[in-house]
Amino acid sequence: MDTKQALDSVILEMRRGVIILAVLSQLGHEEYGYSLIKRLADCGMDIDQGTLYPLLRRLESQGWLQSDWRVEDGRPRRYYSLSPEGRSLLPALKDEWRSLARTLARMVE
Amino acid sequence: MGTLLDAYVDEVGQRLPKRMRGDIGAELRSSLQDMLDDRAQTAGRAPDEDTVVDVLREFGPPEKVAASYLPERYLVGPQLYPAFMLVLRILLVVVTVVWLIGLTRSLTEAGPVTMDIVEALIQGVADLAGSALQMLGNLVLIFAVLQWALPDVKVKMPERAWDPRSLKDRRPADRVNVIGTLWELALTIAVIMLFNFYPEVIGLWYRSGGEWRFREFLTPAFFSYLPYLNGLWVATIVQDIVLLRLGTWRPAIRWFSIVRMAATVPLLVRMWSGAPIVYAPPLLHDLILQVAAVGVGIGVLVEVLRLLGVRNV
Repeated sequence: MDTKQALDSVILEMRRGVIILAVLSQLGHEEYGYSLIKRLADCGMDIDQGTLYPLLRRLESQGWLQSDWRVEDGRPRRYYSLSPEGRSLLPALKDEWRSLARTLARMVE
Repeated sequence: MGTLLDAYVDEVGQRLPKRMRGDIGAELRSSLQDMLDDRAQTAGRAPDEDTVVDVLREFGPPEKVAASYLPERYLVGPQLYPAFMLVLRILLVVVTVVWLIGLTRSLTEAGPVTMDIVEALIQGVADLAGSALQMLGNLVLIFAVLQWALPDVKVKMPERAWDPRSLKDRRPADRVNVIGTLWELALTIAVIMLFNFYPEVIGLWYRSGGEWRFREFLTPAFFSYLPYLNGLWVATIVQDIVLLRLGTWRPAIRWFSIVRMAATVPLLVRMWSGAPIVYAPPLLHDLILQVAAVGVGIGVLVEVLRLLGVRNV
């Protein structure tokens, strides 16, 4: 494995670790898949559809999210938002992230 | 354009379970249309076929998109694998024991001619290979069905209570004893040379009528077993060479050693039930064979215990 490939692989693993919190943090209000992709991209977190949609379904099956179909402008869209359980757990997840971020910031100085 | 989108959504759906097809297909179609609208807005014109192709290419091949919705598939998953390996080890021991019993029977029923014995041995090896493969295939099939029926099952393997202090008493059982193995190799080569090329020197000197006389020890019946014995000795040499090269025992080598030693048992049974192999009183003859059988039995037991992870054996 060459150096660039090794670096890309580790960066991918790091991003995978934070993508769930990134997605949950943006679903305090309803979003459909494509709008969520654009919102995340605007925040600097690029994620492709092949990763996001299965993730949304998995988070919904685990109870973090809820969804419903709605027809707007003649087009059906599936809107996702945090479930009540997700809303109650998200603050703890954010605190954990902040703690990790502080620890890592000290370690990499 | 609509046809291309429909075809893409259909292709993805064909690779998904029926219960997921409708929901995922609808979401996929909605997302693709959102992307096309976005591109059309940016380009300032209605999307054409090239735009659709670009969007579909960005989304990815249908098989890749479908796979991203499905859980990882295993024939025997990580949760079931430890149980699979445990059952496999137990069944391998059972198959080997049953095979030995069958081989013993074949050898005792084989004719007195050397070729009959060799034929029985070759058939025995073929039977072992066939039984082992069949057993492995059936075991994989059973565990594959379990994996499919119970994908989320978690098999908890029993955990032994472990004291770190016990590490002090451990011998590195897997490390090869180089001196011992070299001795075994040299002795085996010497034995092959002796029994094949200089059997006439194997005998006893005795005094009779004031003179020293020499009596050969081995009977003609012994030499009918020589091809079998040569096979076992060559297997020993091969094993020793592999061990010296690797420096450590591996499970496959331990299995080889077990089968090699256990293959001596049918030969000993045949020797015991057949014509005498040495010129000696029957009691001494039988005692020699029984001591050899006990030695082989202990050797097999030690290797089996080491294979199962029992240390300090």
